[in-house]
Amino acid sequence: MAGRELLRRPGRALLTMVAVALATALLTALVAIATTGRTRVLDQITHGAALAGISVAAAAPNPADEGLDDPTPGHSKILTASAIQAMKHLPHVTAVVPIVQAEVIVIPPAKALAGAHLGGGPSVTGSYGDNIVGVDLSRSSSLPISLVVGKYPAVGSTTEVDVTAGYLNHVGLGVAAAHEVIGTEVEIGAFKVLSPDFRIGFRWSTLQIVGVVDQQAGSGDFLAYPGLVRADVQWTAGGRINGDTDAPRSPYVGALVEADQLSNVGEVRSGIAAIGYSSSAPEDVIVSVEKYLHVIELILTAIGLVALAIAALGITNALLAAVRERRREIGVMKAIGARDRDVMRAFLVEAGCLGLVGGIFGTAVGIVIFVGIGDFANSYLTSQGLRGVPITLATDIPVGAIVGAALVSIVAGAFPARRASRLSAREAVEA
Amino acid sequence: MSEPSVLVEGLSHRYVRREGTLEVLRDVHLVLERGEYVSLVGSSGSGKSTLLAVLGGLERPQSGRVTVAGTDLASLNGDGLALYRRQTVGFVFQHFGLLEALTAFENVELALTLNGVPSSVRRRRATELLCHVGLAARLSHRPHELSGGERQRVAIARAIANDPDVILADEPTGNLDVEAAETVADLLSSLRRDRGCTLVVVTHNPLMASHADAHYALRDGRLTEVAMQVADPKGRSGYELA
Repeated sequence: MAGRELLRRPGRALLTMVAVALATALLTALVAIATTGRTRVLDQITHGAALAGISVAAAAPNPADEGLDDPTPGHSKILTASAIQAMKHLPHVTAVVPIVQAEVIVIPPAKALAGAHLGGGPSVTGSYGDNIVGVDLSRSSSLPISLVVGKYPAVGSTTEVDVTAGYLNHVGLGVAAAHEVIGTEVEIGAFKVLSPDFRIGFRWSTLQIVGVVDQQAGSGDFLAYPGLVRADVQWTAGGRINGDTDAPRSPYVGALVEADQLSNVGEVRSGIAAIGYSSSAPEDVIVSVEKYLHVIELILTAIGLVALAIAALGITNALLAAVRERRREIGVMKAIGARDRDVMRAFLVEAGCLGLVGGIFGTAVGIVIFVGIGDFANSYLTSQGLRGVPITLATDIPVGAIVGAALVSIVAGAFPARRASRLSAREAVEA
Repeated sequence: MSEPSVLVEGLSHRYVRREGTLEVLRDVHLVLERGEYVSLVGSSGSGKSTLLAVLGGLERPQSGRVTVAGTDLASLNGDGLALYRRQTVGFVFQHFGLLEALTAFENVELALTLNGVPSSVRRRRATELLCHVGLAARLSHRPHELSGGERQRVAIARAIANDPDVILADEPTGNLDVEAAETVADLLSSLRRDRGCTLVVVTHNPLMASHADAHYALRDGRLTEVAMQVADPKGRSGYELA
């Protein structure tokens, strides 16, 4: 019945719904953009790690910098497996991801065409020294690692690797051309000192590059699963017994600890310090930035809500006009037994229908606007060699926009509905 | 002796307006037995519509006593009056009073819906009622697709949907041509015969009035019984005091 009543004045109903749709579209787009912007900004601060993520260094805590987000670590200290286990048992810790790292010689493919050979390995002309970082990439969403292009190595792979912008520089590519390295191979050699004449022995791996990342998990241009890196670390450590005192005594160069929430990061860091290690986390920066972002979100949401309020006034006006036009029909409804609340309900349903239909169309338009702006922003960012923004929309935004539009419309319809319900049944017999 | 279908004792009604108090009904008395059919005439503003509104529960009686089908209307609150309008009285208006957005079927069904009749029952009953008034082929037509006579028959079907005790009709043939008026007059008249309804019909149509058992006139808010004159050769009619 509500739909039929609305269709009696299709022009008015359409214009009212368009107003609601435009307001909902604006609200949806603004909230979605604000939310995405917030995610991107925080992602930039944390380098893609969890907001409550903590970096643990293989160093003792520095009492002078206690409480700072990014303290200067104390003296180097071996990060042992038992220390990592102890961190896992700290209160509020949800995950501990150890980081392994190996020193390697890198031979990019374009430079491996000619040159001398050492110990029967491949050409080393154009080679350079670097690190390969090993971390459980299946937990990449909690780590300070962001995929720029391509993908992460297959789980547990010892033949696939991701590279950073540093590697791209070595092969003469800019970040904008990052996709060109995908599918190419790179030779990586772990080395150890061979006794007694300090000859160097290599353990070569031919790895396929599957992605380009921005990572702060460790210091190196290569990122792989720990299995591959651990083998290199063991190879290098094998030289120590022959006199290489710089060879690592622990595979771990650090760890990433995730607290259950941002407010517990301080307590977890204290626990890590008590175990004997230095840690850093951008908690204070995040808290400050979140406050600013929250203000921006509120402003954008308020703009959308003002638009919705204007649309709501349109609904009120349209329904007041309908009440004026249908005085006699309302009287007739009462004359055949409708109660005040029956009449009120009929008008509220009409208002709700206007809001619901307008909200659905508006939300759809808002999503299109959001995706369009996201695509435009991404094409600009990638052309500048920057990571793009995730064009994903949390379900609660469109659902909230549609439900909100319907509810606001019902509230807007309450006044005319009440006026209609209070009309006298006598209207039915007035000529 | 059974209780009268309609009992009005000492009913007075006034409207307070900015320009002064307007007394539209003065000490009205009316007793109608079940199945009685009365016509009511009066000049514009004489109080006919107000009397129908009070009898129909659209307005509360301000003074005196009004009892319809054993219900004292002064004792009813808002919901009670709505229930009374749903179950005890049926209205037929000069302007038909159909909801333009609904089909003929839905207009009749609405009265049943408001009375809480289950869906399957009301669908069957609405169809039966429209067939009864000769509109079996017009169930899905909207009011604007129907002639005046057909609209009024839909209104009558709606008025009797919940088997009311009393039918209140306000100039039911006022907007109809002669042929349609005859059909409506016959249909309304049949209601007391077939259903035992009491009818109070405001009409200036002699054909309509000719079906009535008694004729009343309102003058200056006072109700008096009148005798009906035979229509003159030009088709006009008049009333004289009994």
